[in-house]
Amino acid sequence: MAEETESTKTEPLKTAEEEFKKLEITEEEESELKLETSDHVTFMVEASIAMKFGAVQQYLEVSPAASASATAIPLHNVASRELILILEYYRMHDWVDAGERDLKEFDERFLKDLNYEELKELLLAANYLNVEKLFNFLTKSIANIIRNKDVEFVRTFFGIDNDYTPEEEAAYREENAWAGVKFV
Amino acid sequence: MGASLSNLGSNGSTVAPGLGDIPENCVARVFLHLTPPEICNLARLNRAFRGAASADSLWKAKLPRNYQDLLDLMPPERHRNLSKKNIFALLSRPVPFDGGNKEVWLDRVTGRVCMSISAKAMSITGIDDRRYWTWVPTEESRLDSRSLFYGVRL
Repeated sequence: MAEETESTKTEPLKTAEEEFKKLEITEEEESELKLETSDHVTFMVEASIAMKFGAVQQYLEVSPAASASATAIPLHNVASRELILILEYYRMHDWVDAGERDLKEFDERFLKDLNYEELKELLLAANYLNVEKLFNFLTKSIANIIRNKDVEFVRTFFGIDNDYTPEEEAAYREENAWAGVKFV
Repeated sequence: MGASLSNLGSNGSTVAPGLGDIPENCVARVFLHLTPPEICNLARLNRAFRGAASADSLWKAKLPRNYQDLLDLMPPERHRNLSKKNIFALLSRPVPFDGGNKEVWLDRVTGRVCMSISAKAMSITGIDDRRYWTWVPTEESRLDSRSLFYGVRL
């Protein structure tokens, strides 16, 4: 009985130690890049994630010296608020243990926490950074938001005005009759 | 919001007039996730959106890869110089072929190829003998006014 408790005690310790060692190794291997946002906040970002950003890749192609973490890579059109969100998204999606369901739940929560203005700002940041996975996720989410909404809602969403003349609108209706578009 | 976005344009990124806060390539990508009727509906927003909703690159992605084969069933003058969007519109209506016994069209929502085959285009193995069956007129058939009557003497 006494032996049993001892063995159960030592085992978790051992595995924890191994885990720690593994962590140490990955930390050593993982190099970081320094990124500076438009509001002058610097971030140390895992190179494996930062290299997914097209803008970072492009910058390093032109000035390879910046890969030494002393120099910060400037991200002119991304504010720290957006970069934090982008990193949160990529760290989750890069996490090896994340199952399909975890990612789905994460994506839903991630989207729910954003209002329309934040969503658009994030889309612009993702577009500037050239991050394909997030860009695809955001454009798909926007498509889902505006799908089946009335035209006025979508105009407000994009912040645009109707500049059609009545004649143009009539011509448009005729031209798109094949698609079965309902006119309200 | 407006201030932080306007500097995007000065930095080399494109902000097309009339698309609001969103650059054209982003709008184009949003459209890619939508169905053709939804895209046509969004063209109603304003002129700039109409332009984005008519882009050849967008409609090329909505057309099936073999759309040229479907066009080849028609006389060339019917599809010469058409934009990809108009090609989609053209092919969303049935295209008859094989002497009018078959027709093919694109599903408006999914863009998939659909085909309808008239009973007249089929043959009955073994019983070509007309004493056993006949054609009867029907209102239910779209391709011709007759459908196959399975003979009672079979």
